[in-house]
Amino acid sequence: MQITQELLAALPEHIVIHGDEMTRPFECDGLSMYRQKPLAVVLPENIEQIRIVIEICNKHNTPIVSRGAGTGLAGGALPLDNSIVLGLSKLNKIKTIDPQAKTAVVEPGVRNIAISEAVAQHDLYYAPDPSSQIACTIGGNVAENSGGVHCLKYGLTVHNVIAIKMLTIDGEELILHRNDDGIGLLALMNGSEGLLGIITEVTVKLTPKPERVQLVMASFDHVRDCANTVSNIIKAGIIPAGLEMMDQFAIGAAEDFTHAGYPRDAQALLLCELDGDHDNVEQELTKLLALLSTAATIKVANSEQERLTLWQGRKSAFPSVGRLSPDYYCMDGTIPRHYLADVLENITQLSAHYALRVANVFHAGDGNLHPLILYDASIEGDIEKAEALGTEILKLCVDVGGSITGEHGVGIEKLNAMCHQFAADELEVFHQIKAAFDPQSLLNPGKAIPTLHRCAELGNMHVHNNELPHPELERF
Amino acid sequence: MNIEEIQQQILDAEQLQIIGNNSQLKSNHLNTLDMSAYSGLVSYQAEELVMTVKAGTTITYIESILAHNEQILPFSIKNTASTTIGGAYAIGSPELRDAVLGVKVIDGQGRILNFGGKVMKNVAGYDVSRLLVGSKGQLVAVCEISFRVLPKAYPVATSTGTIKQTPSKVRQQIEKNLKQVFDPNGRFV
Amino acid sequence: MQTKLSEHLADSAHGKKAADIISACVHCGFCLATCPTYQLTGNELDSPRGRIYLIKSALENNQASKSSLQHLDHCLTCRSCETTCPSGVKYSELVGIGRELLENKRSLWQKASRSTIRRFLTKPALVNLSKPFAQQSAIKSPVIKPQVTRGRVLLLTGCVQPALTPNTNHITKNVLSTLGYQVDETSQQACCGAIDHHNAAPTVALERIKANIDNWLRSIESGIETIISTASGCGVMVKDYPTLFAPSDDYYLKASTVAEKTKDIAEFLINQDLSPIQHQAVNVSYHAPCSLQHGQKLPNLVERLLTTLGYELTPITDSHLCCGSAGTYSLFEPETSKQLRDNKLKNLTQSQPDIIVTSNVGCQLHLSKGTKTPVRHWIELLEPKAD
Repeated sequence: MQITQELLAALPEHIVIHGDEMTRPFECDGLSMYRQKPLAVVLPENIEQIRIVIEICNKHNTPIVSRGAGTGLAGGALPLDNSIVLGLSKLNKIKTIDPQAKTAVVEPGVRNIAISEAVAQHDLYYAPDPSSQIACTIGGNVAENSGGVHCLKYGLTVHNVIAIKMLTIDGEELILHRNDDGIGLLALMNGSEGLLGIITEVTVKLTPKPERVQLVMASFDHVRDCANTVSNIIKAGIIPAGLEMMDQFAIGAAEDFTHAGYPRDAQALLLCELDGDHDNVEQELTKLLALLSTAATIKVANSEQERLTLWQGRKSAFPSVGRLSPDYYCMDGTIPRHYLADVLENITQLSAHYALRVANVFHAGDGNLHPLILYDASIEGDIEKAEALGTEILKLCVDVGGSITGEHGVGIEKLNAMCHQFAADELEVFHQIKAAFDPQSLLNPGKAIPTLHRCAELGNMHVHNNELPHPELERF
Repeated sequence: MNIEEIQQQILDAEQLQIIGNNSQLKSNHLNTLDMSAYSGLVSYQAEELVMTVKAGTTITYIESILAHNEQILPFSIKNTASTTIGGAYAIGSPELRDAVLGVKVIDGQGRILNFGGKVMKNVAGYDVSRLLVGSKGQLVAVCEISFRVLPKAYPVATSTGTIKQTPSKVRQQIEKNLKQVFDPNGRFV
Repeated sequence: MQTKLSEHLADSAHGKKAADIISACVHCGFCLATCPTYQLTGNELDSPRGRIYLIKSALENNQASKSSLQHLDHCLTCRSCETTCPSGVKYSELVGIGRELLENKRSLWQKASRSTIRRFLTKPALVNLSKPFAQQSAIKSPVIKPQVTRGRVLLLTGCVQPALTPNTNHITKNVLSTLGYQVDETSQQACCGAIDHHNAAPTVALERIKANIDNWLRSIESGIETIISTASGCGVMVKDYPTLFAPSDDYYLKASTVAEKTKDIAEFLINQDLSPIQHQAVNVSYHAPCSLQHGQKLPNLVERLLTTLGYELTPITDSHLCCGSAGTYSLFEPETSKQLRDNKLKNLTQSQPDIIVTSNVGCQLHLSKGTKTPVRHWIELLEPKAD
């Protein structure tokens, strides 16, 4: 391959990975359902090397797929045929921490949790905490606008990034700041899935550690009771720092790994975290406990260790489900909270219809569902069944006024579902926005936004956002 | 006024200036599109912490509805009695941008487009509803805005303002390209 | 993840076992975060997930070259990834199979040098020759015999330990005697098999292991209640004996019995009344060997014991990371090994301890090469009270 030779000539040998054998481990990210080997992988150690990659790829008209830790669940970092993967994992320095201004400047390959660890001595932390925070990178977080269990109160990545430096496809540096006058280019970059530029530096906002953090775990005999409790908590004027739900499958799997003391026989589990100054938390706790009247058991974490263990179960729930099934397919739909119980019941019906188990573990507080469809890729037809079930679930979310993805991104995986959520004109605008940054379409092309042709072939699935007045939930 | 009338007015004009209640963007153009007449609540469910209003709705009105449910706007803006949410959106502020969840707009070609939604988390497609905050009426006519609201016990975000400086050449080029995307014929002035 | 075994492996027990282990992996990437080599290189190929993928490819297309082997060599087998993995992937078993599968890609020169080192380390007579210049802790106190007998235990002598850190077993025996245990010892010849097992000599390893199992079962039958290990690297090997046999193999059950009876010295002492024992009043830093915290899955064990005894331990940054010793790793991958050791020592000496203590002779010897602070087995902090 000519381009590989050129990369090898222009860059240190140890950062250019080529050949079938060595590029294969890069053929997928956290979504191993889709695979594609790249031409080569480059792991730059400085910005100048990124520029060289961009220049060479421009010259050869070769697509660039940027990648952080490869933990994404939508195939955003899936290589494309004849593409170069630009892995930013070696750029993992925390450049500066400013405890007074409560900001940190970091390279894109810094792991999410590494920021919180580094600033802990100043009683600060970085609020967005996706479940993969132990491994996922801040660059990837910006690209996906990642959420996490604490974003109900503290916002998504877009709310916690103050500035970024990025390279455009021309290799020019663009600095975007939250307080720039004019249109919100920084907000646009959040969640742009590597299609608009290469992020080279991120300035994040740090949040003071609250005076008190109180986690409450409640178990329920009926999923509906748990779901209604979620709505009632918000209705009562409480915004918990985290409000998470797990169903029986997920409870069992997480318990197998963490031994956190989750009640295995419960049908649903609620984790509700309150934080703030001592008195506020006390008041909210009293209010909260009164709202848990339908709970079977209630446990108030009484030590920091217990709190962390209970969270660890939740945060490792996805991969823990790997214990129940050789493969799983993770959905990420969002819905208005008050539909929670109905939608969960519908998912149960769909699960029975497709004869595939579905484990639910999700951010209930912001209506962000994560149904995990359990399947076995070695059984013929199972993948297709899982995909079909997934599509049904996402349609259901859009139909009640929600979205096909709350925090994982569209990647390669939800392209079809995008046709359901957006009309042709809107998709066209998305394509034009990409062209405004990347006219030759070299940055992660084909991801995130489906072609109009693709949607046309799927048939006209689009329902206008939220405009089904009384969505017919029982349509299955 | 309904949305089709706004659409028609845009299509009929060669150039026009979008204004609200004239409180922040002073009209200096003969042909104006006055959005203040397009006002009122579209949807609001207090327990969802989300409100959708037409662009001409005044902040004062929004706050009065919220107060009824012991809720508030999560951001503060310079506000006279006649300031509309559409005007505030067009002027832009980082904290208002944070609160925005979705918009319905009409672009320079008269197309009605929806971006974002009415849920807290939504990363489907580019975040156009936050991109257009601060677009000063130059890219689209904003018709409806959905945003997050807060129970009144929680603190309103501190206003940090915007920094006015000459944009870099790269930024200027990208802004020019985006003007082409939303308003290729240069209708909105 | 699913593995489609290549034709020539389709019927192999190893292949099936590997495919089975890989099926638990969901490719989430959590393991990247706590892998010492990934932290240094930022390269997926030097991460557990990357290596699993390389092995999976090798199983599927049978075309792996020595490049894959290099990345498997680069793995410390510290098993930090196993502690992190929510899906329960048995990584170390898999990487063992992968190494065996790819061993034939190794250059002749490398094979020869590795084999020489392996033979040297498992020949006590040769190891003992290095005593004069490499010995770390000599025996200074008299031998104590038990006055009452509460039970009998078997102490795994180890191959390197008697030569280079003899005081470890000496103090262990004195402590156990004081507590009323009669201590039998295995011979220095009875290597646990780890060195052979991890250095491409599975047949030799298995012979040793079977002999050990037979011998120790006889001890158990004669009334030995517990097999005690003072080197966590040996302890984990013995505890893992059952994984080396198919459940249908006669030795599987025997190995399970031996493994169940085996305890690290800290595991044994934590439930004992230690009032007859006193300890040195010094500031210590404790280095948790991977073979104890990740391999034997006994995190915080020694830390708890030392705290009970009255030591104030300051938390060690990155205590989950390997020190770079990792059996013979320090000999074959010196650069990475040294880098890890420097990082580890920086964290261990942060609190300016008088002494660094650990639970494994390998870590002890490796760490002491990089610091002036003495490094000892933690048991050496103890001594029976003079009455």
